[in-house]
Amino acid sequence: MDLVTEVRTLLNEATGVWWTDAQVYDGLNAAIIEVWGSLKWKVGTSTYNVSVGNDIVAFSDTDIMIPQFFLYNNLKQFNSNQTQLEDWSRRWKNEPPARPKWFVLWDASHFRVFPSPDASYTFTLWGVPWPTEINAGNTDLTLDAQARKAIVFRAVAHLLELTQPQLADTYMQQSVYNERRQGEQQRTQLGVNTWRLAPGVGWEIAQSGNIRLGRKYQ
Amino acid sequence: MALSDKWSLSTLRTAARRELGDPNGLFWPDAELNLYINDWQNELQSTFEFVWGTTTTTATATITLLAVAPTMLRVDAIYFKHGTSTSVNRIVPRSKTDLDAIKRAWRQDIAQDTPLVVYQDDQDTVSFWPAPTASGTLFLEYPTQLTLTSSTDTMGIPAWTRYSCKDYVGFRAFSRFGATQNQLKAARYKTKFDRQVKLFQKFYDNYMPENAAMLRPGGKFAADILNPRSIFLK
Repeated sequence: MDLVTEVRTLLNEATGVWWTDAQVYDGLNAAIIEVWGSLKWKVGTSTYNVSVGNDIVAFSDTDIMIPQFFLYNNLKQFNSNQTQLEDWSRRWKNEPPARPKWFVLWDASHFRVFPSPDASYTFTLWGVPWPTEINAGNTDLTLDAQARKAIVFRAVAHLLELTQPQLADTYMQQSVYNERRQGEQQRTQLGVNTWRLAPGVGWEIAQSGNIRLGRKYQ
Repeated sequence: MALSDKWSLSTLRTAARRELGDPNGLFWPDAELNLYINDWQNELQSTFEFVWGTTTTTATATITLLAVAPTMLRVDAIYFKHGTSTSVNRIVPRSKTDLDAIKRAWRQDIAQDTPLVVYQDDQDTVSFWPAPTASGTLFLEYPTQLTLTSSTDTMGIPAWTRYSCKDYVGFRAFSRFGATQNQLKAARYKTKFDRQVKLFQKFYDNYMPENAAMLRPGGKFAADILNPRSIFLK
């Protein structure tokens, strides 16, 4: 059963009479973005090109939903931020151009690279890719069972908000439960080794949901 | 269409109408929904500052911010390049109270080639200390104000926020006095939107996550950098 049919089953409406197809797609797509962005179980890449003299460069926000780090010739580059640049030197802008090694998130679609490029370079940006949209031509996604339930219940919660808010709350609670279960499932993959690793730190907790070896998810 | 598409005002309005069950605009006219949609975008932009801009202008002792950059939400960093130099420096932001503490007679200082401090006289103007003497260039960086005017204008904030527009518009539409007012629904949509905002914080924190802690303003480390102790001991 595809996602659209599953949602329509819960709504007890096989064809669009009260809830049009467009409404069902909206509910599902909103739910997919929320669950996908929270759990981040996929990674993707995109090329990131910089050229001489341009130190604020847009990344492809149609390829990558949540950018996370850069590679250059498979070497990880340094994530940094504006405060650290200022801390290093108030005259950081005067550093001679070179191959950028530090990347600062400048706004939601641009990075500031440092030092300013002395030539054209191509980096690989890694991050969470966009999920596929649900529409008339694509009514399903490949998902594991917990993620699928989290998305379906959340979509139904969105759709029932206007007319049956208490039932919407119930479905939202169920969605949160399934989302949590999916997170636990991610954490316990390769679980035997996680006990030997050092405890996680603040930034690991902040990005909870990423697949990695680390603390046991609670 | 893809989930990465930034919706136009028209598409946002259509999605909001689907949520309100008013596809033909019988209860809420376009102009009203356009207002709510713009408020939605402004709300998220002012909360997260998703979109930034830059402007270059000639250095003078005082500049009027909105004359230099009409879409500026607030000024953030200002860099200065002297006319005959290639050196570019960040001008340190300080309050007038700081300047009074650093040097009581700071207002009497004569102009010099490179200003050291930028301070804000009021919401619209910033000034430099000491005032710059010769020609110089200022580079300003700032979060911008966003406006959706025509139906084809697209949202500036990330595409992953687009469905929260329906919740914000639902909150505002059901709040408005009139036959369609429904305080319960308005309150629920407001709560739902607030939940989305918390989720967006999580999404944005995960951009370049190794620096998530440093991106939070007001931390002791950040404060120490902005207000180095040596300045106050002079």
